[in-house]
Amino acid sequence: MHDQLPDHLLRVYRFAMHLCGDQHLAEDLAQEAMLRAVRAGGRINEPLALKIWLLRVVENLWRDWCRSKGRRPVEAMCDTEIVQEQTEPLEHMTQHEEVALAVNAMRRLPERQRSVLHLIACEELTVSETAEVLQITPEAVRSSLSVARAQMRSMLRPDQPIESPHLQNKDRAE
Amino acid sequence: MNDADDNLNKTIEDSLRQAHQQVQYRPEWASRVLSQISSELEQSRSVDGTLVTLQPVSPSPKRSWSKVTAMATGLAAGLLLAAVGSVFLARSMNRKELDDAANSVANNPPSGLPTDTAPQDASPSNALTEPQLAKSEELPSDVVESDDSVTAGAGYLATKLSSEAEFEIYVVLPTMPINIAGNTK
Repeated sequence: MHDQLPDHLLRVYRFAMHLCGDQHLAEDLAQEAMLRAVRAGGRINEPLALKIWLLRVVENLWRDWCRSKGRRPVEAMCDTEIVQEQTEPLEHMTQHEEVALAVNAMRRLPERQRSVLHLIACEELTVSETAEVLQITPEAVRSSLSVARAQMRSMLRPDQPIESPHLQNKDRAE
Repeated sequence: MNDADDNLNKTIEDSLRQAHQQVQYRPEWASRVLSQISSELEQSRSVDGTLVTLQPVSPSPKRSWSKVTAMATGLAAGLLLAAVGSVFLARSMNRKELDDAANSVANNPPSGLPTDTAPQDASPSNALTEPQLAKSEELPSDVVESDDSVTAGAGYLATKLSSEAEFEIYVVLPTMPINIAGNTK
């Protein structure tokens, strides 16, 4: 198991960066997660299990850090506060611009939706693996992923109507 | 959800994946973390080695010899007690026989002895004289032999058992129990 640890270092660091957005804090979180994996010894033998375990430790460390600082994990925006500043169609942009816009749009997602989208799109985890990392049910993962994708589409394609069930209900109530 | 949404989702997630792959750590930080991991691994392995050495291994020959010595000591003590017990038993048997003889003589005096007193008023003068008692109290020579005390005692017991109908036997057993492992308690 220990031989695989260097292979996971970059993944762990990237997930920590995704969570906190700060280089030094991400380094601390990733380092602590790796050392905990070493101290866990031979309890985790399967590479996939180790990958999930490491990501989960980073998530827990991030939450602990937020708790110790008296801060909630940053929630860039709530479901009803979609900022629609994108006016040009995505198809007309360069690839670099597309990437920058997608990253900016994802930063505006609530934390859970952001993490679900990151783990599924970037880490290419399955729904059940994502549920394990975030310690939520697979149904919650599916729901968060659906809402996150709808909001990303809405932010990056202004003419796209929002399909979030939550927002639809809210609109109906209003 | 239509195909356009699917395509847009794919475009967005490809962009996110590209951005994700551009995130790189600082090489000096990575090398520091990896060296720390190696250090932790070495420590954990050395701790494992210590644990192995702390585990009990097969008993040393010295301990085996101590067990054998304890067993031999216990057996010797048992044999010694058995021998002493046999001698003591033989002496007790002989003393009982002498007492019976003395009573018999006191109640039925020999014809050669003075009979001026009634049999029921048997005085010490009618009993055996001191030299006679002293002589009669002497153990048989085969019992007194100290070198062959155990054999002599066993022979004496066999003779008594074959000649007398009622016979009390006192057996003295070793008081130090010995278990199978040879440890004395």
